[in-house]
Amino acid sequence: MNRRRFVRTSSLLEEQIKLEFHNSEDLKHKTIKLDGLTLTLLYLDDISDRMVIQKTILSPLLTIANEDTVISPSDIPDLIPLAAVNNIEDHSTISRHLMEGCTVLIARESNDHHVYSIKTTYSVKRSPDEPVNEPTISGPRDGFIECIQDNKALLRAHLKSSDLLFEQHLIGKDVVTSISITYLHGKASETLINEVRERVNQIEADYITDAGVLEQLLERNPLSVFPELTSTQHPTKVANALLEGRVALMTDGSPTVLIAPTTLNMLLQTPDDYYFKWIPASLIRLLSYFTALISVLLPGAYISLISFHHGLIPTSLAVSLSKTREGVPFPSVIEAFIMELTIEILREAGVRLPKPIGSTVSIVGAIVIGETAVSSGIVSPMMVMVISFTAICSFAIPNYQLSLALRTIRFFILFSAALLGVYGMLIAIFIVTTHLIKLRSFSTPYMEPFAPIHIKRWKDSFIRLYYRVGKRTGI
Amino acid sequence: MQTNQHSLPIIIFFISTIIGVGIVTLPRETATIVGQPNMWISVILGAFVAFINALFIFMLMKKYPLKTVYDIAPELVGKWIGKLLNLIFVCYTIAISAFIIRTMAEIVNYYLLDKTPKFVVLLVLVLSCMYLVSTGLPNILLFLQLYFPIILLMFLLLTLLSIKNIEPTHLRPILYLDGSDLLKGVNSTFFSFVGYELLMVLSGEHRLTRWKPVTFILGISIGSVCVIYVLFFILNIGVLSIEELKVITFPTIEMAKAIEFQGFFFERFELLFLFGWIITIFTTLTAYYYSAMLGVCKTVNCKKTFFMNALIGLLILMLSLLPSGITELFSYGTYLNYLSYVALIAIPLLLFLFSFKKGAVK
Amino acid sequence: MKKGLLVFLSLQLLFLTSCWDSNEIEDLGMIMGIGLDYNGEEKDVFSMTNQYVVPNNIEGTQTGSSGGIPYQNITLNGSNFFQIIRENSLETDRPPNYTHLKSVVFTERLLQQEPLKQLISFFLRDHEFRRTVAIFITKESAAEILAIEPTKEMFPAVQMKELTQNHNRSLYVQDTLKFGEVSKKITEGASFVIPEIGINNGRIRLLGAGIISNKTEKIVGWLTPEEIAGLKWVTDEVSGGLVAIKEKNSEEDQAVLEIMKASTTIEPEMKDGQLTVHLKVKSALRLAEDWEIKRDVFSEGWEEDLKKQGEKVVKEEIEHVITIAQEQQLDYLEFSTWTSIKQPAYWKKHHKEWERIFSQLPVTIDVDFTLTGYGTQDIN
Repeated sequence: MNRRRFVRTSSLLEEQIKLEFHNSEDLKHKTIKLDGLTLTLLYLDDISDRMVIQKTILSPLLTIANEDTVISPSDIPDLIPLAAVNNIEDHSTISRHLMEGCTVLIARESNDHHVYSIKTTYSVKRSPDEPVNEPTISGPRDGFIECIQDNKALLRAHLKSSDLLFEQHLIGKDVVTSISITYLHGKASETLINEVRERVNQIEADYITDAGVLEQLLERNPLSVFPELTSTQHPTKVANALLEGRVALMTDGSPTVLIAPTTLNMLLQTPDDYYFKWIPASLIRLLSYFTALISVLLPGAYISLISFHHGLIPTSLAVSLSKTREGVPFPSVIEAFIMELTIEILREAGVRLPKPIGSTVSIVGAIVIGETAVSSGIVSPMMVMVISFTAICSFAIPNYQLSLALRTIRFFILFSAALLGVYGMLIAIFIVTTHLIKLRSFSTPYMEPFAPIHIKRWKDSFIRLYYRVGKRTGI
Repeated sequence: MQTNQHSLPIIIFFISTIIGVGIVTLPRETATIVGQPNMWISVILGAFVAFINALFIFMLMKKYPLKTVYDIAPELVGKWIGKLLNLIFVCYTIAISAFIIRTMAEIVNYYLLDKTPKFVVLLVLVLSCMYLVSTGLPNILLFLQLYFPIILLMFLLLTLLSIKNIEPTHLRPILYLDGSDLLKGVNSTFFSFVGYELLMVLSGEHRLTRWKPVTFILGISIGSVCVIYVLFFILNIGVLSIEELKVITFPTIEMAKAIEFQGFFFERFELLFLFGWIITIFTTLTAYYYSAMLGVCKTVNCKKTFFMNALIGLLILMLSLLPSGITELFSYGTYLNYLSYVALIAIPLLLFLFSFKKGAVK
Repeated sequence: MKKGLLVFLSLQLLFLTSCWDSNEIEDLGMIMGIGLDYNGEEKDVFSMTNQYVVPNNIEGTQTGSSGGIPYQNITLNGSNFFQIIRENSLETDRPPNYTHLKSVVFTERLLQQEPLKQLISFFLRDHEFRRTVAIFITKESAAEILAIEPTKEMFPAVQMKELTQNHNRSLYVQDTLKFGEVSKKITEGASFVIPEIGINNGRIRLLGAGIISNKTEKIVGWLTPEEIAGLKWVTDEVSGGLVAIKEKNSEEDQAVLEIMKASTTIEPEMKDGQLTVHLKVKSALRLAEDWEIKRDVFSEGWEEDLKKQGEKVVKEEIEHVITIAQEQQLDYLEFSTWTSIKQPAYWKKHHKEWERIFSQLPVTIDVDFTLTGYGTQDIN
C-alpha cells in the first residue's frame, strides 16, 4: 500500500511536469524500479545527449540494480560518474533544468524523496570563429558564440585570474534567460557593480532574445543615439575592459557581450591598438578620431562652403568647383541628400543580401549609379567624392554602434549647415556636445577623459603612449 | 595635487567666461584712447586692477561658504533691499549676455551670413544655450572643459599663422612711455576682464574659502587671459598698425583675414578664428545665462527652472535685438560699463560693509 | 531637457523654407579683377570694368567646351562704384561676388582727379573685399589692361598679382601692394608708391611705380624701374636681384653680381639739435656673369674691385631716389617711421613740419658688400 502511494506521489510530480510542458512529445521519461526504490528519469529529448544519459546515468544504475545492492536516494550522486549532479530543493525549478538540457532524476524510497538534475546538455554549437563584424589584424581570432557556458570558458581562457567573477541572474517572465555579470574582483568599483546589479534586477521583460535587447533595457537615455554600453564579440576586448575595471554582461544565447560603462573614447579604440608599437598605434588612434570627425562633419562643411561661404574656398578650387557644378539641376543640399540616401540604401542592401551577391550589388551600385549620375549631370563629381569619402570614413570607425550613431548625427549637421552655413553647423555641434556632456553611462561621463579633463589619461585616448603597454590605468 | 584637481574646472570656467567680446573689439577701443604701440601695457595694468577687485570680492564671499551673492544679500541688508540688489545683479548679467551676443550677431552678419536676420542668428544661439543651461552647473563645467583645449588650440594656430604678417616697426617704440595715456586705457581694458565676478555665483556649489587656492585660481585665470589679450594686442598692432586699428570695426577678424597662403590647401583662415571665437562667446553667454537664471530662481524662490530658463532666454533675446545698429550697440556698451561698476564694486562693497555690522550683532 | 532639442528641431523645420544666405557657387559671378577708369563726362564720371570668371570655358579633364576665353570683362559707367556694381545685374544674371578678387587697376587719369582715399573707401568698407587684393596703376586704360590675354595664368587679374610675387627675383619689381597696406599708409598719413602695370608687345608688364602724395592723396609723379631699385634698397625690401656693373663705370668689361641677401638699416641720429639719417646697406653677393677675361678668381683679393664698383652703383641708385623724394618733399622712404621709433621725443615735437625737415634732411649712405663666391666654375 505504502509503496503504491509513493509511486503515485512520484507520478504526481511527473504528471505536473508533463502538464507544464503540455504533454510535449520531446519530454521523455523512463522509470527504473530498484529494490524499494523508484527512479524516474525525465529529459527533453532533443537538447539532451542520449549517449551521455545512457553511459553516465542508465548503465551505472542498471549495474547496481543487477548487483542487488541496497541503496538510498542520497547515494545517487556518488553512483553517477558525472560532476554536475545537483540536488534540487525547489521543485518549481525543475522545468528550467529540463530546458537547459539536464536530465531530472526523481528518486523515491518510502519517505525519502530526492530530485536530482544531471547535466546532459547536447547542443549544436558553432566553433568560436573570428567575429565577422570585428576583424582584427594580429590579435586572437576567437569570438564569443551563442552558448554562455562556452563564452565563460573563453573568457577564463583569456583571463586566467582567480579574481574573475561570474554572477548569474535570471531574467524574463515568459522565457527565462540567464545573464552573467562579469567583473574582476578588486578592479571594478563596488558602486559600479551595484549599479549594474540594480539595473539588471529592475528589468521587467517578458523575454530577452539577444544582448541588443538587454542593452536597450539597461539604458537610461532611450532618446539618445549614442550607445550606453559597448557590445563586442571579442573575448580579448572584454578581458581588456575587465582589467580596466569595467563590468561585462553576458547573455545566454547571444554571442554579443555588453561592456559598461562606455565612453566615447572607448568606442573609438580597437584591441589592435595595443598589439602594435606605440607610434604607429598612436597614429592609427588619431586616424580613427579623425575619421569619426570627418564622417560627421564633412558633408555639412562641404555644403556650407559651397553654398554659403564661397570666399573661404581657395580661388583655384572655387573656380573649378563652379565649373563642375555647372548644369547640376538641384541645390547642393538636395544633391547631398540624394547621394547620402543612395549610399545608405546600398549599404543596407549589401548587409541584407547573401555575401557574394551583396558585394556585387554594392559594387554595381557604386560604380554604375555614381558614374551615370555624374555623367548625366544629376550630381557633381565633387559631391560624389565628398559623400563616398564620408561613407568610407564611417566604415573606418571601429565600433558599429557608434558608426550608426554618427550617421544619424551627420544628417542633423547637414541639415543645420544647409540652413545657416558654418554658423548653423557650429550651433548643431554645440547641441550635440551638450547632449554628449549630459550623457552618463553608468554614472561615468560619456566624454571622459576630455570632459572632465584628465590630462594624464589622454595618453590612452587619441594617442596611445608607450608606457601604456602591459599596464592598465582603470576607468 | 588634490587642490589642482579641484581648481582646474574653476580656472577653465573663469577663463572661458572672461574671454569674450573683448578680444575682437578691445584693440580698437584701446587704440582710440591710448594710441601708442605699447598700449598692451594698459592690458596688463587692467588685469592687475581686475585681480585686486576679484580678491576683494573673494574677501566678501569667504565669510559665507557655499552661499551665492543671491543668498547673502537678503541676509545682510534685509529681505527686500537684498532682493533688489539681486535683481540689479541679474539685470547686469542679462545685459552683458545681450551685449555680447548682439556683438557676435553683428560679426556673424558681417562675415558669415549676410542676409540672415539677426533674430534667427540670435535665436538659435540662445536656444542651444538654453539647452546647455538646463543641464545644470556640473554639466556646464564639463562643457567648458571639453571646449577649452579647442579654444586654446585655435588661438595658438592663429598666432602662429599671423607671425609672418607682423611688421616689427609697427610695434616700436616700446620703451617710450606716456603714462597718463596708458592709465586712461586701463579704464577700458579693465572691462574686458569682467567675468571673475561670477565667483559670487560659483561659490554656491564650490567650497572656496581658503586664500591660497582661490588666489591661485584667480591669478592663473586672469593671468592667462591677460597673456592671451597681450598676445592678440601685439598681433593686432604688428599686423595692422596703431592708426589702422582706430578705424577698423573688428580689428582681430581683419587681422585673421589678412592671413593668406597662396596655393596652400586652405588659403584663408578667418574661419578658424571665427570658430574659436564663437565658442568663447557661447561659453561666456552660458556662464552669465546660468548666473541670471540662478539669481531669478533664488530671488523669487521658484523651483520650476525650465520656466525661468525660458524667461531669461527670452529677455536676453529681446534685449539683444534692441539696438538698431552697431554704433548704437557700442554706445550701449558704455552704459553697460556703468552697470558693471555697480555689480563689480558697489554691490560687493555694500555687502562687505554690512557684513561687519551683522558680525557685530552676532 | 530633450524638449529643448525637439523645439530646436521643429523650429529648424519652419526655417527650412527660407535659407537666406544660401547661394550656390555656380550661380555666382566670381570676379577676379577690377579696372577703374575716368570718363570725365558730367553724368557718368567713372567707368568700372569687372572681370568675370566664365566657368564653362575653363579647360579641364572633364568633358565640356573648352577653348573659349575663361573670363568676360563688363565695362559700365556711373557716378559711384556701388551703383555700377548693381548696374551689372542689368547685363548678367549672376550677381557679382568679390570674395576672390585678386587685383584692382587704377588708371592714371582717375588718380589725378580723385583722391585715392575716396576711391578706396568703398572697397574697404565692404566685407567681401579682402585686405590682400593687389593694387596697380597704369598709364593706359584699365579696361585695356584687363583685356590682355595672360601668358601662363587663366586670368589677367591673377597674372598681374602673380607678377609682383617676383619681387625677390628682380630689383625692379616691387612687392605686392595690398589693400591693407594702402589703408595703413593712408591712415598713417604717409606717401607711398603704387606698382605700375603696362602693356609691352601685347603682354602685361610690370613697369615702375606711381607716387601718391600724402597731402592730396593723388598721383604726383612716377618712378622708373631703376628708381624702384633704389627705393627698395632704402626701404629694406631687397631680397634678390642683381647689381650690374656697366662698362662705363669702370675700365673693365661689365660684370653682374647676384644678390644673395641684403639688409638696410635706417638710423636717424640727433647731433646738436640737428637730425641726420644714416643709411647702412649690407649685402652678400655672388659673381653671376663676368665679361672681364683677365680676372682670376683663384687669386686672393679678386673681389676687391668688383665690391667697390658694386657699392658705388648701389650708392648712386640710392642717392638718386633720395634726391627725387626730397625735391618732391614726399617721404615715401619710411624715414618718418624710423624717426618716430628711434627719436620719439623729436618726432613728437616736429612731426607736423616733417615735410620741410625731410626735404633738407642730411643723409649719409654706407654700402657694404661681401662677395661670397663666383659659382661652380670659372672658365676665364
